[in-house]
Parts: sequence; structure tokens; C-alpha cells
Amino acid sequence: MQFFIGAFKPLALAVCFALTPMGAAGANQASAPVSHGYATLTQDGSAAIGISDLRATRQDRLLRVQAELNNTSATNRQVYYRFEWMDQQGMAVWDDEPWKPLIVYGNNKQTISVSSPSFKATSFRLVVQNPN
Amino acid sequence: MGSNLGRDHRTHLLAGIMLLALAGCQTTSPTTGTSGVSYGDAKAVETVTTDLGSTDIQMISEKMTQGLIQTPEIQTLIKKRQLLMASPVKNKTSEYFDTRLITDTVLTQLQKNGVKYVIEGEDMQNQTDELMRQNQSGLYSKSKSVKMGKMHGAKYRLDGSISSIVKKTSDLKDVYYKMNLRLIEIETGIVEWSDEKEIRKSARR
Repeated sequence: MQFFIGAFKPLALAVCFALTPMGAAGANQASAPVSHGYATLTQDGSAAIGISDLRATRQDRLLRVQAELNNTSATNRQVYYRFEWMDQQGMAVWDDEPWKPLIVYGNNKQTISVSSPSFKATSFRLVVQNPN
Repeated sequence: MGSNLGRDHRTHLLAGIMLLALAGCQTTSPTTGTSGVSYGDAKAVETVTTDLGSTDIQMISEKMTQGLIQTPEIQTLIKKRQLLMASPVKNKTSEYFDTRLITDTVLTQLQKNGVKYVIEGEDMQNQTDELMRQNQSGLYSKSKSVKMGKMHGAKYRLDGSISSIVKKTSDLKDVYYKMNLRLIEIETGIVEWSDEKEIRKSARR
């Protein structure tokens, strides 16, 4: 199932939204808008992983993004994530990033903190896969 | 007459079936070969062995680029069109791999953001060979060849190392990698920036 978290709003400056997974109701659901970008989460039926916080700010011409993944299950989860970086027109400004593995320990949170690799990036999409 | 018409219909039907059969033999896939070779995703997480792999190189390069691009020195270097170079990264692990995979990727990604860099090491030999050829071989017109003594020196250089600790038991292999990269002002030797990337890989045997 796939959750769409946030919506694309490149003009605002910084945000802090608590984002809650929307259960197994189906794909392509949208929640509260998040400035500069959004996150998508694809996972198995257990829905153990959620994106509990997503923040973005623009500083020194670079986009800084911080996302917090929350593991509600008791077991450790291996997730994979990558960012896509776009300009104001939604055009990709950077090559595909490699998928990066990340362990989120059981009943714990893990923060992803990155800076855009290009000065041209004004918006982002965080893609998280939880294939366990 | 009726039997002729019937024969014509049968001929057309047979021709149609043969055409359909031939069309079924055609393939729309633009591939050739039957050796079982296939292309994969170059950005996929590679977990074939615990040795340093494509995902490790990509993650290290990405983190270093993101760190460097945030430094005031690199942002000033872009504005003032100063130059960067990369010294060979020392491979202190027990594995063989070309550390230029990392520095070349970092330099390429920085260049996409406006950083200018100069060549060194293996590439420098090709550069000096070509300068010599144009100036000293007597083969080139002086007005149509580049001049000696015009190369630009870098203000900063990247330097670093990658190390590993390997632990093995009868059923487990654990490898810890640590890559360190530094930005050094060449004139003063001052380390203006440094960062590390740690990776742990384990495999059951």
C-alpha cells in the first residue's frame, strides 16, 4: 500500500508537521500539505513504519530536509529511502540518488537529515520503501 | 462457380492464419542474445557480499558532496572561481578497489554546482604529454598550439582515507568501514572541513 504524505508547495519557507500514517485504506492518499516537498511511503501490510515528522527549510541556497521515521512494531525494520530533487517547475535537477538502507529499531524513531546536493533544488520528494 | 468461391475463401483464410502465425513469431523487445544477461538498477542496494560495493561508494560520495557543498570555503570557491583538486584517497582496507571511484564522483557532483577543479595524478601525465607534444615535437604551428606555463594551481585539495575492521566467527562476518575526507587549503595546510561516513555490513556464513 502506498501513503502520500504532504503536498507540493515550493514557495513557503519552513514547516513542521506531525504526519500520521493513514492506515490500510488504499493508495495515493494525501494528508496535510508540507512546504517544499512531500514524502511517499510504500510498505508491507503490517504498516509498522510511519513518517512521524517532516521538516524542510532553505538555508544558504540549499534545501535542508529532516524526516523522522517511527517503527510501531517491536521488531527492527530495514527500510530503504532516497530523495528526488526538483526545481520550481517540478523538473528533476539531480540524477537518481542511490537507495540507502536504514535500520529503524523496534518501538523507536530514526531521523533522516539531509541537504540538497544542488543549489537548483527548491523542492523534494522523499521515497521510503518498507519491504519487510 | 460455388466451389471456386469456397476454394478462394479457404485460401484467404489459410493466408490469414499464416500471417497471424508469423506475427506471433515476431518480438517487440529491442534486445538480442540468449545468454541470460540482464540489466539491473545501478542505484539499487547491493548486498551480494560484505566487500565494499556500489551502494557503499554511492553513499560515501553522496554524503561527502552534501557536506562539502554546505561549507563556506566551497561556496566562496564557486563565487571567486578558485580551483579544487583531489589527492588520491588512501585505501587502508584489506580489499582492493580504486578509491578514485569516490573522489571522481565527489568532484563530478561538485562541478555540477559550479566548482572548478584541476587534474592531478594519472591524468596529469596525459596533460603534460599533450603540452609537450604541442610545444616540443615540432609538429604544430606555434600560432595554433597552446602555450606552456599557463596551467592553474588549486587553492584547496581533498584528501582522505578509508579503513576497515573485519571480524569473523564460524558463522558471522562483520565489516566496519570508515571513510574520512578533508578539505585542505594548500598554501597553509589548514584543514578547513572534514567529515566521516561509517558503514557496517554483516553476513551469516
